[in-house]
Amino acid sequence: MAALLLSVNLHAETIQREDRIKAALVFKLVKFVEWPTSALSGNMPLQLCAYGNSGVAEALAAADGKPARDRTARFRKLDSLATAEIKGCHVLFIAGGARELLNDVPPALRIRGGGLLTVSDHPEFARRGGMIGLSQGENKVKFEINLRAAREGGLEPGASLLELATIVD
Amino acid sequence: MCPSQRPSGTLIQRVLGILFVTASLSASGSQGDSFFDLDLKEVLNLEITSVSKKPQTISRAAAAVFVITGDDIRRSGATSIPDVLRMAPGIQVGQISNNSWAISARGMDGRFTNKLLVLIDGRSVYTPTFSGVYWDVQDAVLADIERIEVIRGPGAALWGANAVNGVINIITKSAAATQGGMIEAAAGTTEKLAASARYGGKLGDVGHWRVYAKGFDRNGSTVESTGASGNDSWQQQRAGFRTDFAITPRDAVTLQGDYYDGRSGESARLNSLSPPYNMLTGTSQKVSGGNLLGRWQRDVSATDSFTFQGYFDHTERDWPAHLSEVRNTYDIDFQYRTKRFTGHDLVMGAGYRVSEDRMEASNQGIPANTLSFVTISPSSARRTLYSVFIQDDITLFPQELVLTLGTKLEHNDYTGYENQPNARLLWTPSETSTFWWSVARAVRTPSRSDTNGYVNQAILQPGALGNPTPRPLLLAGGGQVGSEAVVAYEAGWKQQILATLSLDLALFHNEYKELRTAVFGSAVCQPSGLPVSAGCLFLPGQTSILYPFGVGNRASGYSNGMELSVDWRARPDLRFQLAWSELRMGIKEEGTSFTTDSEESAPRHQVVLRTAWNPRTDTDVDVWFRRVGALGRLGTDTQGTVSIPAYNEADMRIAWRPSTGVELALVGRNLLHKQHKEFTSELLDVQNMLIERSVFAQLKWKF
Repeated sequence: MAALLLSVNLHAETIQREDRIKAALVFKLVKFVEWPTSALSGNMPLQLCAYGNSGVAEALAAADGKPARDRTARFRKLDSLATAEIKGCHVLFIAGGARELLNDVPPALRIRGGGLLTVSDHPEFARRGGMIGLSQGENKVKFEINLRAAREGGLEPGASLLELATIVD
Repeated sequence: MCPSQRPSGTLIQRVLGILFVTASLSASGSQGDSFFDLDLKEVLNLEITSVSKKPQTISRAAAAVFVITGDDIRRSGATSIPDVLRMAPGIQVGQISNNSWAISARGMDGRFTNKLLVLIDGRSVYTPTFSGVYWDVQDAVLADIERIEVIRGPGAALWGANAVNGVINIITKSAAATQGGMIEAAAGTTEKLAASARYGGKLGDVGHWRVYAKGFDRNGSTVESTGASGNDSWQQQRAGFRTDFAITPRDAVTLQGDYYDGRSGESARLNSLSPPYNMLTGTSQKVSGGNLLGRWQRDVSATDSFTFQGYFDHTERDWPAHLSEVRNTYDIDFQYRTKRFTGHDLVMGAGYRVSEDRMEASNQGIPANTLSFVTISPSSARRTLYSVFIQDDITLFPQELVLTLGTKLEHNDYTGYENQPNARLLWTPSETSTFWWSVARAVRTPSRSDTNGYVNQAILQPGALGNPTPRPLLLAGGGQVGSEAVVAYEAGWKQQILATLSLDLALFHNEYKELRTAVFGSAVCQPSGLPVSAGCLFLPGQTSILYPFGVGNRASGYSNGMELSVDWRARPDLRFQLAWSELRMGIKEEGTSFTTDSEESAPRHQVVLRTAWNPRTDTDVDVWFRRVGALGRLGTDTQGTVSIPAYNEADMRIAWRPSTGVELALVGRNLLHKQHKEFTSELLDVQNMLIERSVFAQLKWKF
C-alpha cells in the first residue's frame, strides 16, 4: 500500500518536475535572444505570457519579478490568443494541448517584425511556424528552433543558443 | 557565468533555506523555483525523473512563515514598514502615534515589545536598550524590498535570543534587480511629502551597484484628551548603497550601507520642579544612525558552502526628558553548510557581537527644571554576545519526511549560557500538501533597561499631602532579572487545493516561564530613607519620594492560537488574500508581582482581507480591510485601565500605468473613520493619540 502511494506520488512529482524544467528553459531562452528596440527598449519589464492549461504556465508564473537581461520579468496569463490580448508580450508560451495548435500556428503569433518569441511544447510547433518547440529526449528537455520564423518575427537568437538547439528551418 | 545569475541569497536567505527551503507558496502565491537560477546548459542537463535533488516546489517550511512580496508592498499603498506588517497573520500592529508603533508576534504587544527579533538584510535592528525595536528609524525604499519573511514562533535555534515569539526578516533586492533609475514622489494629508530616488548600474563584468536617497515629512495626529495637534510629526532623510559582485563564479560578495537622520515628535506630560509642575509638552526626538555590512559567500564544492558576514551599526537618539542614547554595534557571523552526507543538510555557525552604549539625560529643547523621565545605570556599558549553532535536516524518507534538529548555544553578559534547541518534523505526502510539527525553546535575555534604573513617575505638588515643596516621585528599580523562557509547541498544514487556491494553517501553544516582573516596596523619603507613612515629608531637607521596586521573574503564562491565511486567485485579474488570527492568553503573577507582558495587549481576533483587482492590465485596484479586536489592560497603569475598543479599518489604492515605467497612484488610508485609536504607549507620560484618515497621491517613474 505504501509502495503504491509512493509510486503515485513519484508520478505526480515527475510531471511537475518536467513542467518546471520547461518553464526554467523558457525563462533562460530570453538571455540569448535579441529583441528589436521597437518591442523592447528603455527599462521596460520583460513580459512573459502564457496561454493554455499547463503546469509549465503555472511554473512560469514564479519568474514574475525575477531579473532577466537587466530588466525585471513580468508574468501574465492570457485568456485567448487574440491580438489585443497578446499585445505587450515579449515571450509567449502556448500549452502543447491548446486547441489553437491543432492546425498551423495562428497568424496572430506570426506577425512580421512583431518581436514576439513564441514557445510551445506541442511536438510539431517549430515545424508548423512556431519559433521554439520544447520536447523530451533521453530523460531531458531539449528544444528546436525555427530560425526563419524567429527572424521573420524580428528576433535574433544568439549563436550560443543555436549551438544547443536543433534547427528545423 | 554571469554574476547576476548566481543564486543571490543573503545569509539569512541561506539560513532560511535550510529550514524553510523556499518561500512559502501559499503566502506568496507563486512558487520560488530554484531552476530559474540555473544556467541554460544546466537546465538542459536536468533529468526529468531525477529525485536525487531536493524538490524545491511548494512550501517546505516546518514553521509558520508568511512572505510579503515586493508586489504586496507596492499594492498595499503602505509608506512605512510597520504598516506593511499589518497584512501578516499572527502579527499585531498598533499605531501609537504617527511615528511610533507597538508590534508583536503572537501577543505581548507594546511599544517596548521585547520578544520579537527584526533583521534587515541580516543585520539585527533590535536594540539591547530594551530588547525591542525603534520602529521610527527602520526604513528603506519600499520599492527596493524584495520580500519580508514573517516567521511566527521561536526562531532562536537559528537567530538566537529574543526570537521568542517571532522573527521579521526584511530582505532588499539585489543590486542586479534594481538597475536603472527610479523616482517616486508622494504628497497628501498625513503624508505631507515623500520622495525617493534610486539608480543602479553595472560594476564592470563582475557585478552591480545601486545608490538611493529617500526623505519624507509626515504630519502629526491628534491628542485624544485635548483634540490638539499631537506634535508627532516625523521627518527623516536617508541614503545608502548596495553592491553585489562575484570575483569568481564561486564567490559572491555584497557590500551595503545606509545613513539616516531625522526627527520624531511626541506629546508627553513632563514633570518639572517649577510651576505648573506637570505640563503637556510637544517634544522632538533627534535620531540618526548608519550602518555598513559586508557578506561573502563561497561555494566550496557542489555540496559545501560558507558565508562570512560582518557589520557595524551606529545609532543615536536624543529623546528630550527621556534619554540620550548612543550605541555602536559590531557583529561578525560565520556559517558553513554541507550536504556531503547523504540524507543530511547540515548547517553550523558561530557569531560574536559587541554593543557599546552611552545613556544620559536629555535636556534638548525642553524647559529648565524638567525632570528626566528615566535614568539608567550604569550610564555606559559594553556588552558582548557570542554563540554557536548547529542544525541538521535529516531526510527520513526521501521526498516525504524530514526531521530537523538544531540548537543554539549563546552566551550573554547577564545570564551566561542559554541553550535554545528545536525539533521540527516536515511531512509532505504530496507536492501539494505539507504538514509540520515543532517544539522549540527560546529565551529573552535581559536588556540594559531591565537591571538598574530610575523612573520619574510623577511629581508631588506643593500643598498636596501637606508637603511644602514639590517633590519628585521616583521609582527605583533594583534586583536581578533572569531570562524569560518559552517552550512553544506548533503544528501546521499547508495545502494547494487548486492551482488558484491555497491555504496555510498554523496552530500553537506557548508556555512562558519566568516572565519579567516588578514588585513595589513602600515609599520612603530621600535622603532620610524614612517611610512616608511615618510623616517624613515634614522633615527638613527631604528632596524626593522613592518607591523602590524589586525586579524579578515571578510570572508565568501560556498562549494558544491559530493563524490561517488563504490565497485565492479567483480570476487572472482578481485575487483575494485572507489572514485570520486568533489568540488566547493567560498570565499568572506571583503575589503582588506584576508583569508588563499583558494578556490583553494583543487582540483575540484579527482579520485582514486584501482584494487585488486588475480591471485592465494597466490598472490596479486594491482594497485592504482589517478588523482588530479589542485590547484590554495595556501595561500597568496607575491612572486606571487603558483599553482600546475593537475597530474596522480599510485602505484603498488605485493605480494606473499610462506608459511603461510610469505609475500614478491614489491611496486612501484608514478610510472608515475620521480618526481612531489603535494603541497606547506604556510610558505613562506619553499621550494617547488618534490616528487619522489620510489620502495621498503618488507618482513613480522608472527609467
